[in-house]
Formats: sequence, structure tokens, C-alpha cells
Amino acid sequence: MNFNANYHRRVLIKKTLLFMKMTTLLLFSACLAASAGGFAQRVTLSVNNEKIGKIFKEIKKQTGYVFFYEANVLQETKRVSVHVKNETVGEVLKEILQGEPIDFSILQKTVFIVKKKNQYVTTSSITPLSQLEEDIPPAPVNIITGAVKDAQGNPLAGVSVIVKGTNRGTSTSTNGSFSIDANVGDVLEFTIVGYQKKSVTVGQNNNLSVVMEIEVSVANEVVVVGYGTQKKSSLTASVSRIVNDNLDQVPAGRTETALIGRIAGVNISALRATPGTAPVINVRGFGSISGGNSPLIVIDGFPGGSLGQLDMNDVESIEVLKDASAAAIYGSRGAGGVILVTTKRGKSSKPVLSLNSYYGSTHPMMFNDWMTGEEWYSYLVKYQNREFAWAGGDVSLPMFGDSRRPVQFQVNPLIKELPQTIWQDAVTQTGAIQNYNLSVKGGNQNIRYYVSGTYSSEDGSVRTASYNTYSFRANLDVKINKMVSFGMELSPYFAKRRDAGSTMNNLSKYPPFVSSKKVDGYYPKATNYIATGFSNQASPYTLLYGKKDYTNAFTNLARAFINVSLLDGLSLKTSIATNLDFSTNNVFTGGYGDPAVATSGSVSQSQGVNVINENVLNYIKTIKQVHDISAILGASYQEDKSQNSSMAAVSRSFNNEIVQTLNNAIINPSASTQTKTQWGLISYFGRVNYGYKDKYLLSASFRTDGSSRFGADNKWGNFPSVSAAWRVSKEKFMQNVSSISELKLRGSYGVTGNFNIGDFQYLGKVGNILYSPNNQTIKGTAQTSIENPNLSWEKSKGYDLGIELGLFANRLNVSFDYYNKITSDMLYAVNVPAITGFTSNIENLGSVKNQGVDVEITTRNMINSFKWNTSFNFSTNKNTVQDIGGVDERIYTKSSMSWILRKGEPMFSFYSYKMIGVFQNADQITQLPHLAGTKPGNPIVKDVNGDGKIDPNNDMVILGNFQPKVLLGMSNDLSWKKFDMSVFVQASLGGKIFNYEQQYYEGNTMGAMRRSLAINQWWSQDEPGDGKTPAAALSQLSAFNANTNYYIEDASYLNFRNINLGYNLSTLVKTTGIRSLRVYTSVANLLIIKNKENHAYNPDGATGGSVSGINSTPGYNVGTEPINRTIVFGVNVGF
Amino acid sequence: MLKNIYIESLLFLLFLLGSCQKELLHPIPESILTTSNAYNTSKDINLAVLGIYDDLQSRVPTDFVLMEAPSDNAWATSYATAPGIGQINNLTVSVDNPGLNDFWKNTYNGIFRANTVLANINNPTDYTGTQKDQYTGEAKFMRALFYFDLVRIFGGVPAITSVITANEAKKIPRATEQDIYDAIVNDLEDAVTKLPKPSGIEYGRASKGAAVALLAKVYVYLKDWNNAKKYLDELFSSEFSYSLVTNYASLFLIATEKNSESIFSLPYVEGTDGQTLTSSMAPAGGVYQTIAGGNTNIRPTWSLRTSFEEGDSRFPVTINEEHFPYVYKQGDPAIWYPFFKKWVVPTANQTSSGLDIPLLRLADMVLLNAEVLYNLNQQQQALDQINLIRERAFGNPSHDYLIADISSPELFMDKLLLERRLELANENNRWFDLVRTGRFTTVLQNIKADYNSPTGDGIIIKAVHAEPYMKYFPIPNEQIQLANPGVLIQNEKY
Repeated sequence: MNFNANYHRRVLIKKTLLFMKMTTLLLFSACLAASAGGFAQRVTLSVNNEKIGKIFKEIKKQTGYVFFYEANVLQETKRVSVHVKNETVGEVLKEILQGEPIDFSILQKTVFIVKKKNQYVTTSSITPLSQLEEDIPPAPVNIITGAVKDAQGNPLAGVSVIVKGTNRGTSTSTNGSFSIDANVGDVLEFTIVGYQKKSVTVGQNNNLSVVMEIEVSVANEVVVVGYGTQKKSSLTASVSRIVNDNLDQVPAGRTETALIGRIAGVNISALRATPGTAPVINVRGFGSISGGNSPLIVIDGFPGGSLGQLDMNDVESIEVLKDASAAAIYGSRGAGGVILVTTKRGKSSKPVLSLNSYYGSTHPMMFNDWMTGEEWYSYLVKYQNREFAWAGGDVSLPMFGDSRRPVQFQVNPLIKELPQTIWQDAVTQTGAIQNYNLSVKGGNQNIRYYVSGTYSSEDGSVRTASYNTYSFRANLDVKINKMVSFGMELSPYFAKRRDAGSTMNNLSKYPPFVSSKKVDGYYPKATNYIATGFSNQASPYTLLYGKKDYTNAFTNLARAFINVSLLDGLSLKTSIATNLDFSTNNVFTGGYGDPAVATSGSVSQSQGVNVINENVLNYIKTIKQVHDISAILGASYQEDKSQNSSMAAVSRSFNNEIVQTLNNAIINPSASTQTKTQWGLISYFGRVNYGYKDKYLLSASFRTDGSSRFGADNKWGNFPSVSAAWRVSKEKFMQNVSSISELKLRGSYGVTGNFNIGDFQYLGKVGNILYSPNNQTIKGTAQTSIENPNLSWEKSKGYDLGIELGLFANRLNVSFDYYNKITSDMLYAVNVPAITGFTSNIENLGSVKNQGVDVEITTRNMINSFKWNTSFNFSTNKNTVQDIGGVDERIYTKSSMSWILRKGEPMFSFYSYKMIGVFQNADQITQLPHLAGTKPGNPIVKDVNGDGKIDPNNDMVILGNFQPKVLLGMSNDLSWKKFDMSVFVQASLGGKIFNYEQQYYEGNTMGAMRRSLAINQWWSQDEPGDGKTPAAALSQLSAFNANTNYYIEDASYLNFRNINLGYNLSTLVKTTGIRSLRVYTSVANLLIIKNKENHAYNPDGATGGSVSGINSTPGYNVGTEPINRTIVFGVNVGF
Repeated sequence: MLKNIYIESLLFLLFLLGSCQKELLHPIPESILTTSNAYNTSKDINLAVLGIYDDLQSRVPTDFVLMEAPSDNAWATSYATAPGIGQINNLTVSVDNPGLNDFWKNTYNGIFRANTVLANINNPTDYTGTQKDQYTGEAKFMRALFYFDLVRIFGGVPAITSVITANEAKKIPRATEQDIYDAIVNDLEDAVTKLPKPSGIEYGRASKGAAVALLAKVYVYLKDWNNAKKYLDELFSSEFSYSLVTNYASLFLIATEKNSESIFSLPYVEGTDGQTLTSSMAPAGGVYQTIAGGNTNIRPTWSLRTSFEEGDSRFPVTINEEHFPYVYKQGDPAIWYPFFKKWVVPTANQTSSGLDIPLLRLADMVLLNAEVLYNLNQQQQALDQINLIRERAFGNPSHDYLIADISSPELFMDKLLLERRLELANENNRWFDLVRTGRFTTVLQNIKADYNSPTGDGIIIKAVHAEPYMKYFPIPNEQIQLANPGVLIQNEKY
């Protein structure tokens, strides 16, 4: 060993320890000072040739001054003689120690004696003089009793109480009380996870009242990672953590919704504002075309659950493993990131009963510029005249009743004379939202429990849509003995959802002259009033009330585990868990009295059983106090079996609408089916973490997965990762930089996988077809996929570089991450030459890159009686297609808009013509390049290559992308006296939608329309509108308007997602047995600020779904529901 | 005790390791067959043959997009929803036209299914009687029919007669038009020898009569009049008992869809195995007591309407001009909105109509026979064939043509093509008839399409200008891209 290095290290340790000791001593001396009033301040001495130690003792006796020094420091001193009268302690010591190899310093009434040559003392032996000197009798041993409480005054059970420097200890009982033997001057240390360590010096008072503060130091926060936990300070990878402080008070329906915008790099989009619908979660960009981009959800260690089966009340914390190295331990399924959910568990305490309940109302945010009556009639007259003129007709002919004007160009004056209905208002509702959660938790040292039940319900913005859930949870931890502990979770969850009978556009665009009241027993439709010229669609009320679309889902995630301590630091955890799901969808469509509507009905059921067995060896060891080693080694076996069955009625075969089950109809044999499928996954994994003095941190993991979903020789994939971190702030040279409390640099690299392609895709599957020889339908066969034995894992390789910075005693914490992730061997249905008999074949081909930055900043702005904390996150991601296998681009077209996959561009960018104006007259059309058949009023599109003609190959351009460029979230938590408030604002910037829905409301059809959208359009050369709005005519829509960027709209928005204001009434109710009482009001979606060019009900809403295969149409919107502004009043009661 | 737990735990791990791997990683699908177990018995082959028909059955209801929309019979409004129909309607067809690509994909999928049957035909050992011949004949008939459609739309196309991999497919160039026709003739000649008579096979499957008729039609396209005559003579011989039905309207009614005139029809069953052609033709507002709504993908042109003579019973079957919408109430006025009534039958199931679609019917063969006879200088016999059709249409011989009416080959073809147009309107023959006779460049110029009821005249809104190169549609660009560079050569001028 290098002597010098060793020496310096020792010096460093000593310095640190000295600092800690000093702190303790300062506290100690302050206590003494308070009780030293009876001593004199000056010294009178007359001694000859006396030991210095003896003199110190005499000084202490006279003055109460305490001496601290290293045990051996006085060994080299000579005996001294001294004669002083009424001198200060300092002057006396100066005289005594003259010529001695020691020096002193005085702080208040404490004297520190140190060696002159060596400023560092061996601190381990620093002890008060009184304990060193054998001839001083020890202070009497007292029985110290007391109670430990949290800041709110709740007793804390299970707090460890230790007499410092001894092995004497105890822990607090369920009411927080303790009893321990200690001497005056002993230091009692109080520790419990989640609270700041507290030290109290035993003084004269034998009954202590100790208040423990919640741990706020970021560095000591414990973070859940795959298969274990880690101190946040020891993390080498990018992991975000969100704690459920008041998320369960956000009136948001599904769990995911409350998380929108809370975590940097995690994009959660509620594409549909229908209650109970799963939002799309995307971690750090889209990396897969067909394999799905959703993160793996791990609930209490069970991989593959759903956030939809979870009640937010039961959630303790949520961690997101964002980078490849963190997610690699879930290798096979980590490519989309991993979300770890930890539910609440019992603590050693008296039973605590909590009630969280809120009730409130939902208010859809809508448009108020609908045209009705005379205004609407005038519009239709202009519309029909424009159509008639385009068809070469004479527009001077009377609008109605003249046979010279074809009936399709007439406008019936009845439409303005009838009473008017604004259908948007008629089909939406002010609904109710409520949530009641009751939970009990508690336990003792051996058994701890958490039991909870929740009922919640929520109405949709569209009438009839609703979502009800009933959820229960029981988490149990049992310590059997020193070696063995047992735990389990049980979480039955039942959800009942009713979906509205149609999309918003079908409901709200309806002609206003149609009454919303029943006539002759049913809701009338437009063609009942006016037989021609209007859509034959049934009344929106018939669509809403006539269709009963219920989905009932029952799930139960349950797990049991035992944990066995095998050796010192080595334990084995074995668990078995199941996720059962059973769901039923019942749909009945009737006319609700309207005999013209075909009755239909269907039922489908699915049931799945997912079983996993996991066995993990866990080793943790600290060697020589500087080497922290932890390791896991595990194996996991998972199997999923599911089956689906469905039946449907022959259309119109229901005998009546009273009995709406299929026994009242003829079952359609071709729509009745049953299928079974399954997959299996075997995984072996290991991870080693090494930390040197908590300063240099290394981690490496390896996982290998075998999946049934791939070809026989390609079932196994390997997923390694490495990561390292350097806590610069722990270095000596940083010690003087007092403003920096934490500085950590991180770097990681890892490989993750994806196998979400459905089962048995590698086989040449032969499916069923129908053919009807002799008009008798029978099932034949046809091959439906090409066999691909080479099918294997889709892999994402990525690195992450991060900085974590804590300033001003962690009042300001910043974490910054840059990442770069490349997904290769993408699993997707690659188009193949159709002469093979197939149009596509699932292969491993192509790659996509995601790179970006995540920043999270938390600050504690005010920390006194007025507390104000802010957390802010920012993320940006750039998605680039690198390779799509053989060809440069792939295009898919829907509703005249195209989505393109092109090298160098983000996935699924909008692709079509760029509109640069509106043709005002026929002359202009002859002068400018145009699409065949262009009329005045159609868009002028850009001739990109300038060849004088418009053709799809040369003049279509990329018009934007659905993916937001920047995501922001900011939450401010304030509290003052009994008030607390949190304000959460979230923004998504730079995304685009193809808002095809707008065409319904701008006047293309004979339905209801919005003034602001319809008014500026081109009517004729004399009435050109604003010059930017093309003629809104159904006949022009798909060939001229929708194939330009006219309907591409900016999806950016800023949403005041949640404001929560609470008032604490605890003190008022102390006597009633209620431990705590808080009332609050919570508002969701108070205000949404969006681009005024965005005309959708939901600024980033999309009915086209997300990325899911080669023909994805993300950002396609036709008929998303209005977003609800929700206001609730709630109460938290603790008993 | 500690040791025991330790050991047991490890054993537990090992135990799982050994026993689970196979079960977890190599599950056998319970709900689907795979290529390894689907074609072992004669029944398996029979089911796979049905798969070939299924492909055609699902494609044919959209064939009007390529086979009627470009002709002077039909026009597509801007509301038409069928992919690519707008370009086809205007004959401004781009290489990216989705309708063409879909047609290519669907047809080659049918060819693949036929090739799969032929590739596995020797697997079963349990054939009885002529089963093996029948299945072989059906597969070959269907393959020939698919290639006949392809060659008429695209000209020469890749000739695929076995199951190939994607990599092999990338290297296969187009065969010549002649090669494709040779292959069609080969397949059909074999099918003629192997297929049973109509009485020996279910309706909806190919019989020997179907193979004979198709072969005759192919020879007409090849202008091989003698061979055409040979097979037409066989078709009209006593070996088969096809006959024209007396009532034209009954051909397009569900109750009489199985009839003596049908040589090869695709059967459909409402609701369970229906077609979309009915709703493709029906107006959006529906038809009273018939259908609740439709797409009106194509409408009959003014040009077609004015081609019908007064008293032609085929007119009201083919075209409906004034109708009552689905929500008709007593006293409502009729709506003037012409649509193809042919294929629009009462159906409760808007998108799954049960009306069968005849692909080869005797009237078609009679008129082809007329053409063949005329070209073999049997002019009177040719005229008799046309008049056979006209007499049925008018219910009497008063509209029969006389030999003077066909004094030149030009005049004969005028009459023949007109008769084919009227008889087979919207039955996917008009475009091919115009192309194979070379008449499309003259006929398809500025078609009067929409009706203007007040003026009593049509409006030229189908401003098409057919040029000779348009006899072929372009090879779908995507298919050219998916092949190796330079393998698939585009048709000229596209």
C-alpha cells in the first residue's frame, strides 16, 4: 500500500469526522452553558509541577469549562507550575501551555486541546474529559423516557433509539413512546426511514419529547429501481421519481391522467377525453413502428400490469426508469422505458384510518359560435348557389319549389322556421365526479398491513359516457423470524365503463332545425322534416341513448413472496404473482323508438391469466466502510394465456328493444368466434453495484430473455448495461465550495428490447375464410402470414449523460440528462412484393433514433412558516427515422392526408401539398400550376420543384409531425399556517394534428357549423373571404382541401391542470377522536391556452390513435370529445 | 435448517429451469393452423380451394373501379369513396393509384392461394374418386381467371406459378402479355379436362362449363376465332344445358340468382358472407324499402342512359332515375338522382348484401359467339345471336337487327358492342371491350355524364381524353419499388 495515499485518505476521513464531532459538541456545549450558571468565570490557581490534566480538572471545577482532547495528546506534555489569581481561562491556558506541544481553542465554555504539529486529531478517541479520567465517577444512569412524534404531532412507531457509541438501543412503541437507560451527556440518536436523523443529548430532563422532521434531503431519498431500491444519491442511471403527495386528490379519473406533465421525458397524451380511456404514455420518444411504444408497467414488482388497474389512493410512489441502463434489468421489455409503481404498505404504528373523498362536477369546455336560424339558412343558400354555379346552373332561380332548380341545389325555408337546437349543447352534460377512499394501515414489528377500498365514478363530457370503478387492496408484510419474512399484495379492481354511442362530430354537427324532443315516440331526424338534402343519420339522441356500449373489466393483481436471509448480507426472495383479467363488452344498438334504425348487438369476452415466478438472490455488503457492494442474481418465468370469444346478432334480428341480450336475436355465425393464445418468457438477470466511499459509483447489469414469440433459433436476446457516476461534491477540492451541496456526473449505456408483436408471428399461419357454395356459408382456409423463422428481438441501444446538482444545502436541485437511443432491428410488417401472395411480412428491419434532453429542477423557495416549493421539468426529444429497410420512404394515406416514414425525418410526419393561397378566379388557375379539376375557391398549392405542374411525386412536402417538440411541467406547492395550495401547470409545445374534424364545422356539409370557421371562406370572385380560407364544399373536400396543410393545426397547449387548495382543521377536532382533518378544493383543467388556429375540442386530441404499425395515423383527429373542467370539494380525515 | 432452505430454493430454481423451458418457449398454437399442419388430408385441400374463391369473392365487388369507372358507362362523383376512383374516372391515373395497387395485391393473393393448393395437392392420400382432379382443375381455373384480369389491366405481369419467397419475388420481372395468355390457356385446357360438369359440383365453384366458357372468352380476346369457336360450340352443345332466362330482371334478384344462364357466379349470403357492391351503387340517402344508405361510387352516365331504346326491359333494371329515399313518407316527392339499379336489391344489411354476382353468364357468351361467327364470315348466324339477346330485352322480335344493319364489319362491331354495353352494363366488360377493339381512344372523349333534368341534356363533366397508351394501367409504383431496381419495368408513358 502506498503510504502517502493512505495517509491522505486518513486525513480526509479525520477531517470529516472531526466536523461531525464538532457539531455534536457544539450542541453539547450549548446544553452545558444553560446549566453552568453557578460557576465562576475566572480562575485562581496555585500549583507546582502538576500534570496538565490535573490542572484542566481544577479549571473545570472552578469554571464549568469542559475540555476536549485526544487521549494521547497529553502524553508528551511536561508537568507545569502555575500561579494565577482571577484570570480568564484563556489567559491561564496560554500560560500553562507555553512551550508545550499542544494548543487550545475555546468556544463558549468548551476548550479544545490539539497537538501543535498535527492539526488533525484521531477523532475516534475524542471524548469529554470527564469520561476519560478514571477518577471522575460516571454520571448516574438514568431511565430516560419520552415520546417521538412527527411534525403533525402523530406518534411515530418503530423509531430506532440508540445511545450513541454504545450498542444500547430500543425502538418506539405504537404510541411513539420509548424508555432507555442513559447517562447525562449521552447522545440519543433517533432514526427511522423517511425522517431526518435526530440526536438529543441527555440532560437533566428525563422525559424527552422528540419531533422528527420528514427527510427532505434529496441525496438520501430512496428510489425504487428494478428488483430493489437504491439511495438516490447512489444512482448511476436516469430515474425519475414522483411521490403521491396529493395526486390522489386530482380529479382525473385514470391514474395516468394525474401524472401528465409531472415527469421530464415522459409524454402522456389523453388522446380521447372519454372517461376511463387509457392515455398514451411515451418515454423519450417513439422507437418502434409495430412493436408498441408503451413503457413496461411494473406494479410492486409485477412486470406487465396496467395503470388502469390501479387506484391512485393506493400509490406510494412512481418511478420511471428512463435510460437504457436502468431499464435493461427488465431487458426484454424495457425499450419503451419502465414505470415502477410502489403501493402503500403498513408501518409499525397504531392503526391509522384515513378517508380521502371528493365530490364535484365536470364542465365540458366547448364552442359558442354555432350558426342557427336565419344565419344558417343564409349560409346554406350561398352554399347551394356556389354548388349550382360550379355545375353550370342559373343561380337566379328560386331557392325552393321551382323544378328548374334540381332538388339537390334547393334550400327548404323550413330550416329557419322550425325551432332551433344547438346540438353540441344538447349532447354534452355537466356531470358528476366522485371518489371515496378508505384505508387502514398499521402494524407492529412483526406484522404490518395496508388495506384500502375505493369507489369512484366520473361522467363523460358527452352524455351517457361514464366510468365507475371499485378497487380494493390489501398489502401485508409478516416477519416470521429473524431469517424469514413473508409478504403479499392483493388488488381486485372492477371497472365499468359506458362509451357514448358516437364520436363528437357525429353528434354536434347535426342540423339545428331538428328538435331534441321526442315526436311520435322517437327522436326525429333531419330527413323526417325535409326528405332531401340532409344526411339520413339518426338523431344524435338516438345514437346516444339507443346505443348501450358497456365494458366491464375485472382484474386482480396478486403476489406472495418470501424473503429468506441466508448469510450475512445475502438473501433470497421468491415470489409468485398472477394478474387475472376478465372483461366483457356488451353492445346493443337500437333505434330508441326509431324503427328505421337497424338493431344490432354483440358481446365479447376475454380472459387472461398471467403468472410469474421470480427468484432473486440479493447481496449487500460494505467492506471496510468504504466499499459498498450490492448485487442481485435472478431468474424469472412468466406465462400468459388468454382467450377471447365473441358473438353478434344478425342485423335487425332483435324481436324488440325491451330485451337487449342476444337471446332475443338471431346469432350471426360468421361473427361468433373464439380464440386462444399464449406467450412465455424466461429471463435470467444479474446486476452488480459498486460504490467507493459513496463517491465513485459503478453499476453493471445483464439480462438474457427467451421469448416464445420468436423463431426457434432466435428466441434468446441479451441485454447488457453499464453505468457509472462520480459524486464530485464528495471530493476534497469541493469541500470549500459551500454553495454546492451535491454534484454528480453520470453516464450510462444499455441495451433493451421489445417483443410486443403478438403471439406466433413467426409461423406461417393458416386462418379461416368464409365462402358460400350453394349459398351456404362455410369456413375454408387461407394462409395469412409468411413463416419467418428468423424473427427476433427489436433492440434499443442508448446512452445517457447526466448531471445532478444540488445548491445551497439542496434548496435548489437540478438534474440534467442528455440521451441518445437507437432502436434497430425494428419489428414491423415490412411491405413485400405482392406477387408472393402477401403484402407485408413481419421482419426485423430498419432503425429509428431518439435523442433529447430532460431537465428536472426542484427548489425550496421559502422554508419558514410560509413554505413554497417548486418543481419544474423540461424535456425535448428529436425523433429521426434512420432506415426503413430497402426503401427511402413509405407513405400511408387516410382522408387525403398522408403519413410518411422517410429517412432523416420524424416518424409518421404529415405529408401532402403546401397551401399558399386560394384561387380567386379562372384566370388565375390557368396562370398557376394546379391540380387537375381545380376550381376557383380551391387552394393554390406550392409547386415545390417549380416545373409548372403539380404532381404528387415532386410537390408534396412534409407538413409537420404529431410529436411535441418540448414538454414542460411546473408544480408549485405552498403552505402557510393551516393553508396549503398546489398549482400544477403543464405544457406541450410543437406538436401538430391533422384536424379533419374541422371540415364538419366549417360548413362543408349541411349540418351545424361554427361561425368563426365558416365566415371567411371563398364564395366567389366578388366575395373572396379572407383569401386564406378555401371554399368549404363537400365536393371539393378530399381532392383539394384535405390534401393540403389546411387542416394541419398546432397542437401546442398550456394547461392549468390542477389547483388544489387545502385548509387544515386538525386543531378544531382534536377532542373528537379525529386525528387530522383537512378540507380541500381541487380544480382540474382550469384553463387551457392554445393556438387560436387550433379548432379542436381537445388541442392534442386524436381519434387516429398513436403509433401502432406501418399504417399508423397519429395526430389524426375526427371527433375527440370536449375536455372537462372539473371542480371538486374534498376532505382528508385521519382517525 | 438454513441450509435446507438454501438448497431447496436452488433446487426450485433448477427445477423450473429444466421443466418449463419447452412449455414456455415453444407453445403450440391452439387456435390456428400453420403451414406445417394445414394441408394433409383431402378435406384440407378442399378447404384451401375455398380459400381461392374467397379471395375473388372479396375483390369482385370493387372491380367496377377499374373495369367500369374508366368507361363511358359510369362516372364517379367527387363523393365517391373507393380508393383511387377519381383518377381512374378521369383517366389521369398516377403510378401511386391505390385502387390499382389493391387490385394487384388482391389478385396475386388469389394466385398464391391457387399455387398453395397445387403445391400441396399430392400431400393427401385419402382422395376418393375424382376429388384430386377437381381440386386441381379448380385451382387452375381460378389461377387463369386471376391472370386474365391482370393481363387485361396491366399487360404482361410477373408469371408466378409456385409458392415463392420474398427474396425470390424481388427478382422476378414481368412476363410478356403473350406468355401470360399462354399460361392462361394452358391452365384452362387442363381445367377443362379435370373439372366435373355443372351438375357434379356445387354452385359457386368452377365447373367444366366455366372453364370452357372462360377459355372461349380468352380466345376471343386473342382473336383466335377458330379456337374460340371450338369451345363455344362445346359450351352450346348438349353436354351442357345452359339457357337464357326469359326475364332479364330475374338475373339480378336474390330469389332467382341461381339460374340456367349462370355459368360461373360468386355466391354471397346477406349478413354472414355478403358483398358491398349493392351499397357501392346505392345513393347516400338510401332507397325506400330497399337499403338504408350507400356510397354512390359510380353513377350511370347520360351517355349510357341515352343508348337505351324505348321499351328495352334492361333499362329499368340497369338504371333508376327517380326514386324515393329510404325515409320516404306518403306524399313526399320523388328525387331525381340516377343510380345503377343493377345490384341494388333490398337488404337489411347495408354493407353485406346477399345478391350473387355472375362472372360468366350465357348472354355474354352468346354475344361473344356472335363476334366469333361474324369473324368466321357467318354473318347471319352472328346476327341471330345478337337478336336472341334483343328479343329477350324487348320481349318480341320487333327490335331485331337486319343483315342490312351490319353491312360492314365496322357497323357490325357498332351493333355488337352496343348490345354488349346494354346487356352487360356495369358487369365489368365495357372497358375491356373498348380496349380490345381499339375503340377506347375514339369513344372515351368528353363523356356526357351528369344529367341535367331541366334541360333534358347531359353535362360533360367527364372530360376524359383516352390515348393509346392507356390500354394498360400503370404497374403500381410500390410494387416496382419493392422489387429489386430495374426488375419491374413500368408501362410506357406512365
